[in-house]
Amino acid sequence: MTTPERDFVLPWSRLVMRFAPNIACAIATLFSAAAIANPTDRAPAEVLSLHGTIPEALLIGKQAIAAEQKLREWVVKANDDALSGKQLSQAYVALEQLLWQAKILAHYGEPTASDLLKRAEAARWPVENAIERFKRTPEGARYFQGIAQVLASTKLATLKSTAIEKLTKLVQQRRFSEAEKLLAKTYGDIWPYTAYVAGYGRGVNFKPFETVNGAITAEMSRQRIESAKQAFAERNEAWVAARDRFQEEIDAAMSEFPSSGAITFDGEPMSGPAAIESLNRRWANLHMSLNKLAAFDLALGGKNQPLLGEQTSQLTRQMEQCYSEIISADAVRLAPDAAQNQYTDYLQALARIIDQVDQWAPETTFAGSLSQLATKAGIADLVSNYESATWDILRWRRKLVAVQRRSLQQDYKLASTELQQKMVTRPEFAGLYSEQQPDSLPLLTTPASIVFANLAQHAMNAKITATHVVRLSGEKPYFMTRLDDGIYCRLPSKFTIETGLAGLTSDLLVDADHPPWTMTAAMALGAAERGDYAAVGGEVVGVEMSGFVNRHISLPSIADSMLYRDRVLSMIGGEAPTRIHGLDLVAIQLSIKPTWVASHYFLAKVSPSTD
Amino acid sequence: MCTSCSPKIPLPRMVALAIAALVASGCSREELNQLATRAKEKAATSFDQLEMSVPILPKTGEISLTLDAPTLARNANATLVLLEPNRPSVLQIRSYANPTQETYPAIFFQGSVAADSMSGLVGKTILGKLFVQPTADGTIWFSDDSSPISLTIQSLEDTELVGSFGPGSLTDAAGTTSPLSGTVRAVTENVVFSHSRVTMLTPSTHAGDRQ
Repeated sequence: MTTPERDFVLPWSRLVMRFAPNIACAIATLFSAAAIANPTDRAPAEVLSLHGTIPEALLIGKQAIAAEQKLREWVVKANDDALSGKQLSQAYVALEQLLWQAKILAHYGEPTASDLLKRAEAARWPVENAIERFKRTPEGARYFQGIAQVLASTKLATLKSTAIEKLTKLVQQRRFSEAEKLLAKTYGDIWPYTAYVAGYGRGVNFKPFETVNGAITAEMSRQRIESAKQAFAERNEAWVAARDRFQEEIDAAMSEFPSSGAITFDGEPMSGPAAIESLNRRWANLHMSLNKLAAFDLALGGKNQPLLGEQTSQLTRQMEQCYSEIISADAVRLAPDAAQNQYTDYLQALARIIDQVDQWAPETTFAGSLSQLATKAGIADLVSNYESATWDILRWRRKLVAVQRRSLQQDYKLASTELQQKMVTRPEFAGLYSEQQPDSLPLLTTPASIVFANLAQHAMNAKITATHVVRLSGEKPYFMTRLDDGIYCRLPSKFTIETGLAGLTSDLLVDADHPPWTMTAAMALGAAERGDYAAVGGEVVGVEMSGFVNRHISLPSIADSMLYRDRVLSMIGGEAPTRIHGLDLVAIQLSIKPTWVASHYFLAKVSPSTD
Repeated sequence: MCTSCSPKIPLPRMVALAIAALVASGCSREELNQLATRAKEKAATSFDQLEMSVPILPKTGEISLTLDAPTLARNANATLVLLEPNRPSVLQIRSYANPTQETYPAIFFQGSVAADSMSGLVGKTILGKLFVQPTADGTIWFSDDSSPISLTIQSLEDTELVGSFGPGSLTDAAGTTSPLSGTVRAVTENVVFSHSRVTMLTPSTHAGDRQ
């Protein structure tokens, strides 16, 4: 039988060093698979994944996630009283180390830390209870006797005093990183024994370390927070530079275009409609970077760049002015025939981008400049007649869709509302919302594995609806809904609707030879053709939970339209950080099998043959 | 009798005025007596109408539908919107003058037509979309994209277009289907929407536009 004394001869330092914060990459890469997973309906016990904005966080995080997996196994065995005395010590050490690592991760703005801290705390009760039960067995009583001898031994006392002496010297020499490693190693040597004593008996063993521990922890925390702030500052600087370049491009466009009728980007001259689309793509990339920056800011406490939202709105207004001026310049410059072609090209270009900017109302934002161009093209009366011919039928179609969606609301609840109602935290029920603020963002208050089990139970197979379906055009198309209070839906990459587009096209009198003549009509057709729908209804077939921060940071730039351009930033930089800890916020992805989609102008059943 | 007189003028005074007018025109006393008697008789028979009626209004049109229940709208306007050559024109029939201030039941029909004047529609059957909302915030009956409603134009008298809907069927927002038939008398007039940029054009205006 292994005795505590013998364990002491073979110190725990090797184990501690294995999990020490600044360990080599080689070990970390072994756990890379664990680092990219999130809790899903297929793997509900996974830890919230890392975003790894700061490389050190990725290393520590991967180790911590692996340690949590091991701890989980130990907890299962501890509950079954299947661990030996030494194994119970190992389990206890694992949970203390996990707490240690999670606290470090939190400084780096990783929501994984929030999950791990809660998991470690949740493991304490079963592990310590198992130790207490073990102590009451004959074998456990003998083992505890050995533990008590070690705790009272001069060997341990010497170890502690030697360590404190060394630590004090390292602190005096401001070699805090080394001091932290030594502290971790020393604690690792003591924890196996203190696992068997509770309260004062445990605390007294660490009392002598109070001063050095305080100094080391404070300094290392400061350094880590500083390095995270530095990482933010570098990214912020890069973003500001990119924004300034974009600003210059807008200014250049506005001065260059009226005379030349073209704008040169990256050496390539572009016509007005192409330039507007190109500017918008640049802005989408910039906007996505800004969201990632703001999300990182939220992870660090949300105090670093409070004016980003305001600056963005200002830039959006400048873009609006720029686009209007480009169109107006063509109205002045072009001959009537050319103006007519350009008019339809502008409608197509604007229809592709306008819905992405929430504050741009299609019927008014570019109405003035488009009207100028139509007059120059000699089609002002035609445009007016076309509007007469289509405006009211579009209005009726919208009215009908609104009534149809109302009647579907009984069967298909809005996803965010459904979760806000079903996932309120109660005694004996780990939820995502507090009773006091059920309409707030989903918040982790217990280990993700526990809350996820409840989430999956309520969400799977539920019939839900979500608004703002956007088609993300990458190599493979993705249909997602916009993030709505941290909730969003993912649709299959391929699905077929039974009717809709043909009827709308016919009502708008559009065919290959006859284009739509109004912004509203062009937008209605453009959105329906792309697969950007106002809403979707269907059955939940999959659930995934991630850190809210991670969700934003890991979005590809093509997913820009998943974010409300003028709202998410104000939310991130606004009230959220003052009320809650950004690392506790989560985002929920609901994969749905759609049964219907609603554009603004038609509601269509999804063909059962959908993948 | 002069139908252009205000119907609100009391009957005795009206008869007196009529006789005074005839005297002024040189009628004999005998003729005048006969006319006065006839006027009195006629006035007596239409007394109720004269006293009860309101000032004569311009025609307002009417749409009468048989759906799940009889549906009657006491206004109907018809508008023909012309577009560029080779593109169909659009016939719209509405039960309301202003889309932003609908009255109920609210009814809207729209169909594409190969005609550039209202008179060119007579005798034709037009396939189109029909929307019916019996009450504000209530359900909406509509014709499915694949099952358009037919509107057969029977006549155009003065400014009134007369036609009949269906037979066909409409579906409501909950998916219930109901047979549909009905008639329409729609006034072909200029309609200016409060939606400031939309001005409905009359057939005559269209003809001018196209030249």
